[in-house]
Amino acid sequence: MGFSVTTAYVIFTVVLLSVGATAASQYWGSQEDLETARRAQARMLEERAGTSLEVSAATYDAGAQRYTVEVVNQGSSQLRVSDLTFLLDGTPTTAVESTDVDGDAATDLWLPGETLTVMLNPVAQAPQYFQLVTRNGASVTHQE
Amino acid sequence: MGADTTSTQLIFFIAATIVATAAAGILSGIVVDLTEKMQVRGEAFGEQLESDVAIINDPRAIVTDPETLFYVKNTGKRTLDHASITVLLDGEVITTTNTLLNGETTFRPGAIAQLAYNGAPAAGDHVLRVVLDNGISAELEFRI
Repeated sequence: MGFSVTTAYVIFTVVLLSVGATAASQYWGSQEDLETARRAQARMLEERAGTSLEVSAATYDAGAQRYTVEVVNQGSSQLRVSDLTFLLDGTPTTAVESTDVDGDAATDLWLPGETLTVMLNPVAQAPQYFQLVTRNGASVTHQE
Repeated sequence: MGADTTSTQLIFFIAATIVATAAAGILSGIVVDLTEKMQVRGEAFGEQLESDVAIINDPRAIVTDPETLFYVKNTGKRTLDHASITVLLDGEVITTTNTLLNGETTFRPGAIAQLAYNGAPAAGDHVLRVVLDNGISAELEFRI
């Protein structure tokens, strides 16, 4: 009788130890994944909070059908020109003739303090509203 | 007598072993199932944390002719499903035709989805809300 009970205890102990180890391993694994996701979310929020833009100039050349906008990165986030979206009168446009950051047309980086110059061409008529949207969702608008 | 006692003890031992093994097996099955479900829940939550979208329309210049067009940008770090976006206009679900702009084939981070609504909101203030299949959402208040 005593040996039977002992055997039962041994079986329970071995199985519970095994199951406990498996459960703990999966729990800490999922916690690690969650922590990685939380950090990614925090970086996204920090980047958006640190993005501040201002349109410093906007001109329309009717003859060349070119709309030129200068936008200053007043925030602390590093932005990429290739990730920007431009909207004219509420419609996204891909008619980007050229972009340059402080005169450098080759760079894709738009760093804090730098001015981005965008030339949109062809633009049939002077737009009333211009909007620039960054990769993180922050935006700046300009109204004529 | 001795043989009877031995047989009885042997029967008790076998029975105890069987019962203990069965009980331990059921318990381990339940725990493993729970940890698997916990891991799935953790992965789903992690996906939510890393996902984000923004409605990038200029609220002053919503295009309504011939269709009302809304633009949703993937501002998170996960590729999402643009076809499963639920769109609510002033609290009511509306049917939209969802496509990707700029030649994109997946709603990857940075891509823009166009939601075309075959209708025109009446003049006045409106609220647009988009909800993705993983639960994340974005809202835009605009005026026609």
